[in-house]
Amino acid sequence: MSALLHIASVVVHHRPDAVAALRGAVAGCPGAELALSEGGRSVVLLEGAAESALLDAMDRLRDVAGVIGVSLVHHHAEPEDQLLMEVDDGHAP
Amino acid sequence: MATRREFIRNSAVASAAAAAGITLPAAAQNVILERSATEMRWDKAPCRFCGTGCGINVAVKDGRVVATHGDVHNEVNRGLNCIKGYFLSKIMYGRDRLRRPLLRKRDGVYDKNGEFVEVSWEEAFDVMAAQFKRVLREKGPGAVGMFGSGQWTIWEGYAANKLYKAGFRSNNIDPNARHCMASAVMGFMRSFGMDEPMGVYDDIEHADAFVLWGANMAEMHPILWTRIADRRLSHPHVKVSVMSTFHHRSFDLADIPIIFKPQTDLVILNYIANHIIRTGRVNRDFVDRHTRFMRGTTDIGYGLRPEHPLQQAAANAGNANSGEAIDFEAFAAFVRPYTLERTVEMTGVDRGWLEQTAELYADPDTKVMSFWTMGFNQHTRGVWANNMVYNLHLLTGKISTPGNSPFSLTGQPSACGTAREVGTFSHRLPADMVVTNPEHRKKAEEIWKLPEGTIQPQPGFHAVDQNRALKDGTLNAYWVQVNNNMQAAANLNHEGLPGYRNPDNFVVVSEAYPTVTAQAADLVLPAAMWVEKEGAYGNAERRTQFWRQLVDAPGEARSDLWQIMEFSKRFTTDEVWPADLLERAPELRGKTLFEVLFANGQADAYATDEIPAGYRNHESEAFGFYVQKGLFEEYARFGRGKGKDFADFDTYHRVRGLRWPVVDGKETLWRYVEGSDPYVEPGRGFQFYGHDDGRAVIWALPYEPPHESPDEEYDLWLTTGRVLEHWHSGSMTMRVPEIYRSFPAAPVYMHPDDAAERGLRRGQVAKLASPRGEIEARVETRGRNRPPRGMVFVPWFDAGVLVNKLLLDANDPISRQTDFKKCKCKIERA
Repeated sequence: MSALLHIASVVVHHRPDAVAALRGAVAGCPGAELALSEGGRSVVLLEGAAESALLDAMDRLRDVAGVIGVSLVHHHAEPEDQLLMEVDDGHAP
Repeated sequence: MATRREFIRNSAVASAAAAAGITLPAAAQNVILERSATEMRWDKAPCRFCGTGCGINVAVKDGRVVATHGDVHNEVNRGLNCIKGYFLSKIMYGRDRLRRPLLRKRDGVYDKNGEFVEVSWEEAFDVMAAQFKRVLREKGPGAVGMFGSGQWTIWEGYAANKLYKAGFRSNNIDPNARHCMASAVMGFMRSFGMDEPMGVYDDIEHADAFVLWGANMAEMHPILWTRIADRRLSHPHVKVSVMSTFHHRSFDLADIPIIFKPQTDLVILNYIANHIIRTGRVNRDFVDRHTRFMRGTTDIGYGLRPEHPLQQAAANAGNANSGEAIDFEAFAAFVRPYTLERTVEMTGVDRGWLEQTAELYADPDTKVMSFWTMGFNQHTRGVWANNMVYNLHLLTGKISTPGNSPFSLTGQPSACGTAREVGTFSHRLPADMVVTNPEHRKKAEEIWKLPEGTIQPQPGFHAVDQNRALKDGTLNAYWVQVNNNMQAAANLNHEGLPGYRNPDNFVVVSEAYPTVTAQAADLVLPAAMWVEKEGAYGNAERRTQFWRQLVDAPGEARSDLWQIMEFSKRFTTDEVWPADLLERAPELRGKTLFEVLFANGQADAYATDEIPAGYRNHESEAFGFYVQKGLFEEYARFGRGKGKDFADFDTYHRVRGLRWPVVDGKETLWRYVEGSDPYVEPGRGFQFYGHDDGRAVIWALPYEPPHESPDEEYDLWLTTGRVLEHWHSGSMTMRVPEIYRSFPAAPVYMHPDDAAERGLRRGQVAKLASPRGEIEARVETRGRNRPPRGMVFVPWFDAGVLVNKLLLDANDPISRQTDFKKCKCKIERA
């Protein structure tokens, strides 16, 4: 079994004007991506082999000025080789 | 073609967008439909951690939990999840998970001073039954006991309660909820005659103001905190008052930040009552129609051993839960000395902040929600504090209506559902009944089909007394399930550990991991956890939630429910009941306790074919009937028609929980108010029907000093609590290496000037000492918890830093809940 790969999504509640600072913090976290942002809420996607890196990223986001809360929504952990298997998505061209 | 990774990334973004209410781009919406392609099966379950009761979706692949996400259809968390939810998929897979029973042995036989050896369940229960029978024979039912938990599922607590109170005829069963919720329970019983909040989480979206009495919701109840933050940030008129003895993360959202001196919360509460009266904002119509007034007995001691000087000095230690009727004028005169000037002087708080907080209650146009947890409950005057915050809501009539809500938060997932509603306290029976009431005992005996006189009329040992009785050798056969009390209880060097290791005692601990408590035991039984069994929890807003068994427990680990029921087979009524009781029920002679309690024609009334295909149910497979359904339906009879009505069993497996009372299939949001609560008679408006006269009680109670304060030698206040990443004693979260690394050792948070004065710098190791013992911890002067001068804070999740051994086991004399928030200490370089 290969090593686990972790994928997580978090919702960040923040003051609306904090989105630029949040974007900067996300850029500084390896494996993190600001997926969506609307008003005072953003979705950040986190991925990595080291779970501690995901946790560190959540800590760093929480420390951004104007951020009120960082809530986990989805967490997935599975061996990397299984995650990289291809599946039929049913509506590919 | 795409990889599973891409599906999962898209799913993760889609579910987060749904939870946040953000519109998802169309392309992403397509991909989420293809979840079946990822070969995981998803089911619902409530989170296993705190009392908020968030809904979780759990994905199983190849017999293992591989993913979790917040359940967007659950009203509690609406798809969000706090960082602890991150570990739900991992808590079951720690490397040191217990898989087989472990018995202390020497030369092949049980020996209290032997080493732990793996044994079969057969041998484990043989030795355990022999020890329990020896103690029952020699000393009677008063010498056996059990310490349970607000993490028990509803049927586990119910089965344990039955085995002890009816089977062994011992009321020495108490839950660890004694440490967290006992003061809240007694507060409810004294003010309303009925346990648990009148309001619901929906109040958050209606309130104009939030007042946190000591609670650090940003870290301890983060999902509710995001709901409060949403309300505050989207409605600029909303105000948040945060009160605490030290600065923490919840202050980030505070409009009114208040740091007060320990114990002076009692002064602030009476000051606000006085402010409401003095400024003419009492809702006289509500007060006259729906309340009455009592003056509580004072000088009630600190729950210490009778020989302790503080107990000797207390005039009313034996009479703590009493009072006398007074009227409104007497109440007004009672709180009149709590002036703003005196409050400023005693609390150390700026007058402006006090006045602004008082106005949140006094202003008739402000809908206000109060929140509290351990700051009030773990307090030697915790019951009083609960009563006193209800006073503020009752004087103004701001109660039981949307947004007006005194809300007692809960720390454990089923402190309400199991410990409180099932009545696993040493004085309680299901549905708010008590063992001291002959009518209540009779009703329980009827439902349980047992002869009259089975249930003993005296309360058993509560949590603190259990440890004392173990040490004193009066409690000798003892079973602990789903808690880590050796680490959690106060004063472990002097009471806890000597009690467990007392040679007269046999101590059994059912656990998933080798906790400090398990290591202090004589027999360790490996336990199944969370979705390894079918379960039910009840959260802080009266919401009952069910889940199915989704995976198998590892090795030979078995659920607490299976353990209780299987163990009951080893006792017959002739062995444990006296002759006169058997004479009244000759048909029960020679039967096993299993037959009497569980195969009684009720608990075994449902067949296993009612369990849907595709789900295992280990207990039902083992006993041959649908165990959980039978136990729940029997238990539900206690509350129906009493305002504690549950829906039928099958309904809960379909829905995302329902808030009791559930009448005619409909849940109840606001209790005690006409139009919302079906138990309120038409025309009454409000009816606090827990009391026969329908009135809630406003209690006149004073400030009394704490059991201990800093002095010349021990010159600092020590307080304890939790941090976000860990849950309680850390027995689950410390199993996840990454979380352990993110917060490796419990630090001592202190003011930089206090540190400098003692020659300490951030990161250095300091020695903390109290009159009870000493520990070492690393100094932290920055970060999320910032105590004022004269106070230090140590979290208690870390078995390497057993801070609770510094505490005195002083407790509230009414609730017998320990005060974990205040003791004196000194600090020097290690």
